Amino acid sequence: MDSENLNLLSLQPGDKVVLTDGAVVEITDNPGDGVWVFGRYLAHPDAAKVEAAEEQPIFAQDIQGVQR
Amino acid sequence: MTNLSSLVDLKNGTISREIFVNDEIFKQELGQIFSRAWLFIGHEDLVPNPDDYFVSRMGTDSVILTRDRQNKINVLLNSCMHRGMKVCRYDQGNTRAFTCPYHGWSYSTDGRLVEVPGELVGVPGFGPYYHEKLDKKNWGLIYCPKVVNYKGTIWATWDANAPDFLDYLGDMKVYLDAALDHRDGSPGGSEMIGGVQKWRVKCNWKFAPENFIGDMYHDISHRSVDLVGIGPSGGKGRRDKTIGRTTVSFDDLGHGIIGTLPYREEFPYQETFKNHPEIEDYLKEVYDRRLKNLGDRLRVNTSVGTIFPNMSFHGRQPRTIAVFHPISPTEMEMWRIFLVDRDSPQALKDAARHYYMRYSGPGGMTESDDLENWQYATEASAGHVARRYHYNYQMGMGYAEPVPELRGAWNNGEYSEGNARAYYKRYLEFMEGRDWDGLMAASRAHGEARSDA
Amino acid sequence: MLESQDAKLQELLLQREIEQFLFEEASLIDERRFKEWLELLTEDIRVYVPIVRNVRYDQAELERTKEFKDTCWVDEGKETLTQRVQQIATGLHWAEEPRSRTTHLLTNIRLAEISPDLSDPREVQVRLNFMLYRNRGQVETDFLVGKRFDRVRKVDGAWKVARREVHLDQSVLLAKNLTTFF
Repeated sequence: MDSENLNLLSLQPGDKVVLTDGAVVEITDNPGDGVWVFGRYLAHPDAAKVEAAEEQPIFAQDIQGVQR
Repeated sequence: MTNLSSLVDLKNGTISREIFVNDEIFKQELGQIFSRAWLFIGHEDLVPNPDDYFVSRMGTDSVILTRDRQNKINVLLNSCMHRGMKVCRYDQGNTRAFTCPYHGWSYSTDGRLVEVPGELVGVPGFGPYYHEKLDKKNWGLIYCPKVVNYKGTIWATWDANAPDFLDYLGDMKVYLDAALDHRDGSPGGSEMIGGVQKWRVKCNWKFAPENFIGDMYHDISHRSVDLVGIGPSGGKGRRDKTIGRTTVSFDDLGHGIIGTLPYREEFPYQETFKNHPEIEDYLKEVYDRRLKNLGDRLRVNTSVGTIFPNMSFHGRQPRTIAVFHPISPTEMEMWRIFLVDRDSPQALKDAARHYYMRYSGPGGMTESDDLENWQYATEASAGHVARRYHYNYQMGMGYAEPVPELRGAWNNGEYSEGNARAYYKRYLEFMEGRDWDGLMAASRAHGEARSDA
Repeated sequence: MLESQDAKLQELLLQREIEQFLFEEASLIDERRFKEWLELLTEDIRVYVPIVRNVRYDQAELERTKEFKDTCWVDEGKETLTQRVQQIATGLHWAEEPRSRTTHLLTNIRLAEISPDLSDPREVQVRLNFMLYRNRGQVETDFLVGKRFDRVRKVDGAWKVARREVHLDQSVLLAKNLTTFF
């Protein structure tokens, strides 16, 4: 699945998504606006961002697809 | 800026029709009054839980009333900082973030993510397109610097220099309390019946607050409903009688009421729901509690009142809050919400709800006639020749008596236009562009509030 | 085969009967024959018009205010409807003096439920769309458009309206008042 076919409304907390920059994010909250979800980095090209473990807003078009 | 002193002639008690129909004056009202004064935004029952929101208005601006995850109530300008799109096009709901559907900027009130309410949390392409050079902290939604929750009613002002809400209210507070407190005299305790009536009326917005500030003289408007009799007791007339009714104005603040002077001994119990014995029993019990709770403390009864500039309320039957949002010089959007005591029996809530709706709102048998009068008064005043002439506000000039128990209050008698004159005196002070020191000096000269008021 | 043809015919006749009743009922309002109109309402009539709100796709339960609980535009029975007719008759009800001109257009009429059954219809749920046009004075014009959920009941051999729920397609009411009848 690529991002153009992904309706953000279908994402649930716990789902994992891969971003276009290679990062992997676990969804923590879906505000339901169809544009953003909140999540934590499980993997990121910049390791510091994973360690911070802070909730980040993730933009729809930055999501490559859902990690199965 | 138009100099209004010749249009609002308080010495002679006349006011030009221009202030009710003129575009330039309307714009000046938005700047001098609606951008500075404390405005009624909504009721806390509209946002009971974290992330709940309700879209309201301040002047011609759409604003979002929201309760954040830290339980703080915020008021945000409902317009994206990037291209102005409405970030919330719903009337109410629950959301973690307000996301603009245009380019995707997203704003939050969650204190764990942001330092100020409505700060930007999501900017698409913040790294790749903005090169992280957008100052997110400076581009959050505009928020009201001052917001208060007064006994469940939410008020806000755009002006950080505005005085505290209680100063703005002055001793008008006792009359507002009479509407918001429990019928048994204990503070607060009212709840809002769900749903807000919102409707458009082609009249100048000031007709409404002027009506509710103390216009007993327009009683003839309601002759038809008096003849039919829709009162809560099912009897004659249209509402409960207020014993000792008069009009009281707060001339230095622009507020006023129809109701009673302060008193210390409760009036004898009046049956108001004779058709509903179980309600009558509850109300009698509430009356007995009121005697005990209030003892010989100062109290008042409020039939109706206006808090400057555009909020009015009915304190007894019906118990309701009305707001008059300016749309243009000749159109307003009127809102009504209805209140009941939170712990009252369902039968009373139901009876009250039915009574409120047959009395007030666009379907109200009383209010519908007011709306006709306000609309066609506005239309007829807009004529080119009509505009040259002033309205007459001379009734009862020079007959007001001070109310010793309340700071800056005047008893104008049951039938008088003293309250309307007080309203337009305040209107003129705002429209002249006085600063807050100038606006509050006369009221502050009366000193501190009494401890038992 | 013939039996089902009969049933279809019977349903058609009932549909026609109910439509004619609703058309006549509406024209009594438009012709200002309000007292005769009141007689076409059952004693336990309920007219209920909830307020509609703009809500997100997943918060649909908030879309209309709740019956028996929330504020609405109209929520009343025969007593208040009768008082409204009396109010207009005083000649002093300024919102309707001079009288407004109204026209009800009723369309898309469907019989949703027939009780107890088609052979002995005593109560029928009817769904329809309506447009209520109002003009008063010179230029004041309101278009109230929406769906109606009516319940009609046979009382002493004649149809009467027992319930009318009206879903208006306006969240901010664009009429200054509601002094006509749906």
